[in-house]
Amino acid sequence: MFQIRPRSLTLVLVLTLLGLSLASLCFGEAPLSLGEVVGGLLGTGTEEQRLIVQQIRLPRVLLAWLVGCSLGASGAALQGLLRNPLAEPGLLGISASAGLGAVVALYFGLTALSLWALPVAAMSFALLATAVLYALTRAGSTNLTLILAGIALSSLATALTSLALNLAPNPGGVQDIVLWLLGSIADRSFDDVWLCLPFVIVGLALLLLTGPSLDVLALGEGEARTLGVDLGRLRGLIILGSALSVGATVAVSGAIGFVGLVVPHLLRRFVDYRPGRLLLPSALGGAVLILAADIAVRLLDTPKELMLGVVTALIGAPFFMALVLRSRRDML
Amino acid sequence: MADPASLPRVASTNLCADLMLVQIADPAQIVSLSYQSRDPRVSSIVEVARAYPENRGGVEDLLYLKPDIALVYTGWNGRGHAELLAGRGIEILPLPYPATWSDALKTTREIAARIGRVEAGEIRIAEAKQRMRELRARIRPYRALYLRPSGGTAGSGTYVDDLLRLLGLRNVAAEQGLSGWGRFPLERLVTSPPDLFLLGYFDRVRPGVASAYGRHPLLRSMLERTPAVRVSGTLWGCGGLELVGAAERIVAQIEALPTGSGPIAVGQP
Repeated sequence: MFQIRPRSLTLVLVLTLLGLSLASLCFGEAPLSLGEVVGGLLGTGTEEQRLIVQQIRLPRVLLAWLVGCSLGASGAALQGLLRNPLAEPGLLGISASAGLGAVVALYFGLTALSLWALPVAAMSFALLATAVLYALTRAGSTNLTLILAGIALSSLATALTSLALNLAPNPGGVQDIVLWLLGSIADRSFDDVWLCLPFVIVGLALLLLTGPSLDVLALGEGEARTLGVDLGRLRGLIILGSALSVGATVAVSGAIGFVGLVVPHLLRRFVDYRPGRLLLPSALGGAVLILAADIAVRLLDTPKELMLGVVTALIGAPFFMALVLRSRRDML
Repeated sequence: MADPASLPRVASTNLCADLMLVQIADPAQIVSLSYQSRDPRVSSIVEVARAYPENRGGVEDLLYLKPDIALVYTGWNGRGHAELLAGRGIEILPLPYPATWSDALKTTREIAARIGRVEAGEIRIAEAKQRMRELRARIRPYRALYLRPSGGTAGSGTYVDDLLRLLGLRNVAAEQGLSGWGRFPLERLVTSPPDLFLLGYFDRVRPGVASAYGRHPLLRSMLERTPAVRVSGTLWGCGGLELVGAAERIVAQIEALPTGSGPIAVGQP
């Protein structure tokens, strides 16, 4: 069995990410060659090539990075904090709650006041959801209760999203509901990137700060406290960091599931099962997965372009089943 | 003309059928119109519709209203109960979704015959045909692109495509090989930009709510540079006889565009 050191793991992920980003810039409706894509990207190509690469394809790649990093890092951090391999923004209903916040802001006219109302509403709802879940785990509940509570929260947010879209002054169609529940980064522009970028950067920074404490927490709460870990601060950082990064990205992309579940699991063995060291690779791995899924969405020749969440669920749901089966076997 | 009391009593279960029915039926034979016909956002017959009870198009509505004929669309969600309704003496008349202007005329003629209003139907059809004929070849053959805020367009085999050709316009979506109600990818806007945008339903969405496509700065900047004509949403969604009203407004808007707009004028004597 081959070994990858954590440092070279990061390098491999960064290189994969850059390679996939270039590939993503090359796939699209207009048949541009690699040279034309590079020319368009660097601004040396024709106006047509520049518009297509810089205004249509590049924002899509950058959003894939932001969405993927947010979901991957949040998944890894939540799994470390709750010491539960099933914790993930999608399964726990954090993404769905953020989507509800975004829908409320968009369809009930809050965005007419300020466009920032959109990410702010999404982040607030995500924060509320994360806080509720955390309060539940503090009340001494088991892994099972946490997941069940997450599913309940997720169903509630999904149902309220559909309800809000139907009751809105300008009712949204089925297509709008599908977008918020399954997510997509097609046709996004730099406006969308700027709208979530500041929050994602702050959120990711908060999450990455928790690395050393998460490594110690893996030993147990009592041990961590003895070793000087401020558990209150750690929880605060992770709850706030996840809410900021996931909330802001969901506001522009809709809820995309399973990324935060799959990625930390695949990478855990390469960082010696240390939750703190897992954070950065998970963020990069999340971006790789979203980019790959977004390329797949465009390569699959379906009459209507698939939603991104469809592809991540096709990968993630069987994975989730396998995890559930394995944890059941362990319990027996 | 037949005595209104001897005409079959008709209920319509959706907006498109409502629009057909109020044009050709005797007011006394209409039992009920759909609830959408009262919604000013989508309906052009709000005032007329207030005179009739509304229905939501369900099987129970029809059992309660007891019309002789019920107009439904082919996708009607009570299909499974058609036999039950037939047993209660209610004839279900499914209307196809029209793909061309002549389809619309044909459907109108069929409904007129079924509800005993052949003469009224022919009068309406002749009038609509005449109005449509007057619109022909009044405008330059712009390369036009029909667009909805979601990026949806209309390729070949749709009544929008048919109407554009009737008015002497070229449909960019059909020329690009799209058929049916597909999407026009943003990248194609760059590679084959139209001379004229035909915007459907852009009035109904506030800026923040429009989909990512409708908000995209690339589309926005093209809309600033390219002449655009807005289609009235209330006359547009069904492709029935009322389409001629939408066509008249489109032509009037195009005629009102500043002369010389669009690349076609460039280099002309």
